[in-house]
Amino acid sequence: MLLDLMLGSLLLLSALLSLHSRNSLKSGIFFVVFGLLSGLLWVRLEAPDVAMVEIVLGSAVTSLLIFKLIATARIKAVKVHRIRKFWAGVISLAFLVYMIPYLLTLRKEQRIEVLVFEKLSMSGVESPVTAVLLNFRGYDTLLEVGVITLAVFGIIALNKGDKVYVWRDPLVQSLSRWILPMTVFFSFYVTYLGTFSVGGAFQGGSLLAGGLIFLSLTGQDVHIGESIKKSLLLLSLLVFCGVGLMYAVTGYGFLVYPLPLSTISIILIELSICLSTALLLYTAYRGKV
Amino acid sequence: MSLDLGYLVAFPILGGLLSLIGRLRLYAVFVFGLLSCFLSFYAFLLSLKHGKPLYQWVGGWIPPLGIGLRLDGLSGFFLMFTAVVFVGVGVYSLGFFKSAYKEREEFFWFFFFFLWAGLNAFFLSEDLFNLYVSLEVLSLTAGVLVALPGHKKAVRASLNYLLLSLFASLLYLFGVAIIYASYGSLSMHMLAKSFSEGGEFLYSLLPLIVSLSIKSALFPFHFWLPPAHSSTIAPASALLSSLVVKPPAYLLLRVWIEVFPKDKSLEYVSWVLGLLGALAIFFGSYYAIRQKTIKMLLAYSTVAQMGYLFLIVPLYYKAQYAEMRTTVIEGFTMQAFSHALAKASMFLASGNAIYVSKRDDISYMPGFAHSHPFTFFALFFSGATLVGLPLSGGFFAKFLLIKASFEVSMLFQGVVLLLGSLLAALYVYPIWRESLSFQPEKIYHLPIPRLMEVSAFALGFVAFSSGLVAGFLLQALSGV
Amino acid sequence: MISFYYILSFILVAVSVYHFIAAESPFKRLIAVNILGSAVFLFFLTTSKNTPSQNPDPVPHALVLTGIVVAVSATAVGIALILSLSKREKDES
Repeated sequence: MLLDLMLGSLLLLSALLSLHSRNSLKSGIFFVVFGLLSGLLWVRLEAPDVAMVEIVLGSAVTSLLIFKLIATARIKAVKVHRIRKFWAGVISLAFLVYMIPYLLTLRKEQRIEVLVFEKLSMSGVESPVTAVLLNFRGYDTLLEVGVITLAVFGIIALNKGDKVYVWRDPLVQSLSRWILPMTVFFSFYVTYLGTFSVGGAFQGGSLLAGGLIFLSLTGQDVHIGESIKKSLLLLSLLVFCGVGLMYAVTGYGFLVYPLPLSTISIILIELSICLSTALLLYTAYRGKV
Repeated sequence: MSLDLGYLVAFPILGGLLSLIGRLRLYAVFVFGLLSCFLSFYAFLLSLKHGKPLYQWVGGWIPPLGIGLRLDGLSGFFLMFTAVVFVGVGVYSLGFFKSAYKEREEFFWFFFFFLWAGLNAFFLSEDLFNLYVSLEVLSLTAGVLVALPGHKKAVRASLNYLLLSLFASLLYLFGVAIIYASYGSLSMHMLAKSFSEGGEFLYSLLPLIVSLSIKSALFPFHFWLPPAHSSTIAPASALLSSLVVKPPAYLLLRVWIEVFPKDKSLEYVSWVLGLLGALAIFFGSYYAIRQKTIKMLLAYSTVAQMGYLFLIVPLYYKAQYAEMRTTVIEGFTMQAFSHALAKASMFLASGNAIYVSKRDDISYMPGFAHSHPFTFFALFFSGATLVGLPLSGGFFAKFLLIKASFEVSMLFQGVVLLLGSLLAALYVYPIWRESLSFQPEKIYHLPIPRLMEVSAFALGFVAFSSGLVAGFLLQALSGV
Repeated sequence: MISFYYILSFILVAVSVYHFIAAESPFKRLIAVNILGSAVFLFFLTTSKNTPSQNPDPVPHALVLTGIVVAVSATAVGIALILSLSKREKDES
């Protein structure tokens, strides 16, 4: 109880500090703190899978991008008119007042989770979150993979490769090289864990992305051919669409996994997501393929 | 014969992926473009044949556990004209990239097909969270398309658009979260039953309606549209203005007719939307008349034309008889359809104008009537459709809506509809005047690539002549 | 206890909405949007915990996971755009 109150108030405090700071570096740092505290709060809410994704992807990778921005560009702040602040205050206060009565209507009730646990044995995996993510609501995940692929190609289409902040310290450079194999192994392990415990493709993929971004931060690059990199970027979307279409064409239905093949289909898709997400986020950080 | 609806989403995505491979690009574009068009038309014909909506549970899991796809008259119609616009813009782009922006072509087709897939996914989906992801697909693809030219104006417009769009999407998600917390389901047909029991849905109403209004550029949230649609290349502007603004309005209609119950409070909300729609028509047209550049004029025209879709919300609410309800939905659909085709045609034609004269100003617009008849007629037909001249799809749409508004004695709607046509004529006229000009310095003899001319003309022609086949097309909506 | 989390998410939404409208730079807007996202996710996860049974509801977990990935993708594009804009402004000056 006390822990919740503390976490909650620290969360609010870090959000306020992040939003209020004039200095963008301070905003960024408080944003990292906010992300980590969010993750902790979500663990407290019994959502460890999501907490992992938030801490690695939402907090760490986003912060890497933010700090790259702060280090590379000069962020111009414009003066905000007082009338705009007034209306902003009115709107947010009105929203708060509007929503408070809603709390009275909320009750403990059973939603869809009964159905999930009922059909879990038919999904091919033991983890309920993975079952929902890659089987029951796999279509959402397909579109999500599409979103991240599109975003990264948008970034590639945009940039002409400008000068980015680089940390050229030989010690850190070798450290990043040494850590990478361990990160690869660990990220595949996390992906594998997702089928029966806490973990999953996105968690593993973002971990690997972290290792790769560390490499890029020190000015190095992964030595894979450009065409291999490009095909890895597209891999998850291709595999996911391909699997869905394959089952559609053979008569089962779009993204309908036949029971004996569901585990292997999910593992195949998860592996491709892990690899692709890692390279996608890495490319997003670098700005070019 | 049935159709697996997943094909409508997966095949465009596949086409987009294959188009990234340099050697396969033209083949992929051709094959998957035709395939996606065929699939959309097949889906439309299926919806015409079946009186009732066709449901498909993706993955084989029934909602609320799984995600439902729904093909009925309304979604089939939207799928169909999405395909028409994409084919037209696709043909145009084949010619466009031969002449300029060669380095951008590498990624354009991926965004093109992905946008198509996202639109198909949106129109077919009946799961609220799936709609959120589809909305994000559309917003991000649109944002990336706006930034495609790479110059400062485009990048700034894209950034503002993206931030606002992201904000609106998260508001939408918040509304969905409230719905899930209160009702335990995300499936629209299931929620329809649950909503008729409780009054708690009102809390989700505000985030949903505000977010969808922001995304479809309803007044006063329209300010992102003109810079975004005018800063990018012509084919992208065409896709954005004709198609990307429609899904949020479509969703609002869907949610309104399928999910929300008949509640008194909704009537007040519907009048707020109706009023904002009228303001959108007036202010959009006023700013369009005042513009000096073609693309900005067309962008403000989109703001105005989208206003029609919101103006008629109280009409839907007031319509008592099922027959009148169908008329309003038919009017909505015809308006969306004819605006999409006409606006795409106009943007493509404006691309031709810029190609020939190298300038965006209306006063520098070439005298197409004398040098490039195809482009001139593209402008003529599409402009006539926007104004609502008889025989065009636009006329049919406005006729249906005016008829509906007088039948339920909502004179306000009828008057605004008529005034809107007059205002549209005021901003279409300068374009016609310039393109009919005899001044020798405005007549360019530079030949425009065939593909660019013919596609612009074809879209405009279809928009104009659709009034003739409107009866046939609209019978798809009788079951909605 | 659950109500505390709900109230927290509402406050976070209100604060981020305020800062989104009254932001002094696109960067600040981006941070506000991300915090708004986390607030909505917090609401979802609190709902997930708000069940009579022992296990939390896994559906919001999957939805929030998807939401995080989408939000990060959009943020990445936003950051690339801000970088591009600042580069162009530097080139001009």
